[in-house]
Amino acid sequence: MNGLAVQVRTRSKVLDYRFVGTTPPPDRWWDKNYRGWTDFSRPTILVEPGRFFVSGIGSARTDSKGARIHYALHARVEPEGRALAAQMLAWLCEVRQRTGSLDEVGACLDKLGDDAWSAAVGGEHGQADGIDAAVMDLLRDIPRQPETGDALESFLCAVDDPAAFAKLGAMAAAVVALEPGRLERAVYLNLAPSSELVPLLQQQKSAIVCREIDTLPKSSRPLLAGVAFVLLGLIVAAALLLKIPSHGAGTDSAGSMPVQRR
Amino acid sequence: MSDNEYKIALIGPTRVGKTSLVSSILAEAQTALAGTPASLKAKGSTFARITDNVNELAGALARGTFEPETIKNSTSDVSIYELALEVGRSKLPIRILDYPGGWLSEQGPEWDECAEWIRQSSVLILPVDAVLAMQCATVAEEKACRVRLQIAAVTEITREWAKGRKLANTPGTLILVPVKCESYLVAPGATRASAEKLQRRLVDELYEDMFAAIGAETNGPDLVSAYYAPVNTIGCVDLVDAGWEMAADRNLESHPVFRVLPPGKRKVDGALDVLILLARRLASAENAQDRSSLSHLWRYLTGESRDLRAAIGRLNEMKLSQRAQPVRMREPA
Repeated sequence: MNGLAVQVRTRSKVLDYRFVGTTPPPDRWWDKNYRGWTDFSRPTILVEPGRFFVSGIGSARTDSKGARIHYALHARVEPEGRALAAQMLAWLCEVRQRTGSLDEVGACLDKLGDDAWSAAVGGEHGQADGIDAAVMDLLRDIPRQPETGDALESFLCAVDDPAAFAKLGAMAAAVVALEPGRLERAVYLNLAPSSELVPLLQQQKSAIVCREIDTLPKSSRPLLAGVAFVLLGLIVAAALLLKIPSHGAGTDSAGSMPVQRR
Repeated sequence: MSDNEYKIALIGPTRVGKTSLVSSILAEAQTALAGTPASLKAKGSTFARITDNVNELAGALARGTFEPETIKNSTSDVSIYELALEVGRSKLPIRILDYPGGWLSEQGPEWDECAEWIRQSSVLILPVDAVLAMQCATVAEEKACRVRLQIAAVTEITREWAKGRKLANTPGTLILVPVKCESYLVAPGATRASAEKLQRRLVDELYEDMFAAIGAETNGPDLVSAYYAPVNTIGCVDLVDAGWEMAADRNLESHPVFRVLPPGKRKVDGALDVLILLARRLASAENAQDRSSLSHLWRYLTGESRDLRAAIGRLNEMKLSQRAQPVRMREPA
């Protein structure tokens, strides 16, 4: 597998979404970590150390109701697969930045044909075995992307930022090369505005492309309130300290008497 | 904050229009709670999902003909609609589970989480595609209707839910909600007879066994109540053609096409009934809650209980429309 184990989730005309191929489906880490912030049926890019999940990859295939089918790609990345994973992620981000969707990626996967996908979803003997290898063959032929370096650069930006996905691709390449278990991430979440993403922002080295930058993250408000409270306390304390010596020294107290006490 | 959150499950096949139903409930809640300090809001990212749905619907209606397939992709993961009934700083979270409709029958590895949620839900909402139910002229279409509505799977799921309610001695409400039913209820040509036919078709024919199963599991209507409450999630459309076509599984599939009625603006109707039924369940659940005395004191001091209960009470006291009817659960003949 060249250090990169890719699994595809899709559906057939009749059978609903499932991972195809012979490898057992991955545990749903994307669902546990990001549900509520993104609609997985629309373009979503989630990269964590040693793994990534990209969903909402539009296909030209349709289900029995005539609705567009989509793909999701899941990958586990070993050290020897990091270069290819970085290339794939850079390509995915470039496509999303240039076209506003991941349909170009879907068109690539569609090359295997509706029948092959339907058979794989149905678990038909022979098709399920070959689909993983066929997908890897397709992904090895993706357009070569320029090297992005591997600097871990935290950022938060909106999806309409012209540089959003270029920055995300660079960070994704760096994050996926880290040892699994670390907390860095590079993610595109299509529903959540910035104010909803406090739990992610609190973690180290997060690169986040979100729906919009709306307000100051909520966690900052208590922090600012706390800072304001401490400052106020310091001012009051300073004022009290200044008052005490003036009484004790027996100086002209009439001049320092508060107006309201008169 | 309220101590509780209320879980609701949608039991509907793929692409029946679950997001449109949730957005319809929110829209009618705005009207029902206008002039009061209370409001029902979509929270967090649910707001974005609902906004996308409303915009997509508006865009589709602007074309003059409406094909439901043009709205959004099909669901591939579990998702939760996060709503909250709010009065000032007081909130009563209401969470609605959604998942790929195919899982109803296929019940793969991800189903366990959904099953647990359904078991805990005090309200089950069953959206039903009215076109599938009503446009069956041939044996093949009649069969396809039952297959596409996944009636056998839905019956088993609701039976298990009712069994769980009975075991826990916890009340629940099941609401059968036909959608895409404008042509039988409000469009030109719709009559009282067509509305009654829709109700009979769903309650007395297609879902008769389901209601009977619930009745059998709960020994009568005291613990679990069931309602029929049709909702026009779009309002300004009229069916042109059910569009039956043979699908890959050798069953027919409907690809309905609707014409858009002037002025082409969405006019939700009937979702208030669903909201009232939710409020009735919430009201009884809130009254039955056993809270700690500290929690009681906090809620008394802040006025949270009063405000929230007043909001729920207002909805609770509203009358259901004539279309919404309780369903008597009886053993099939």
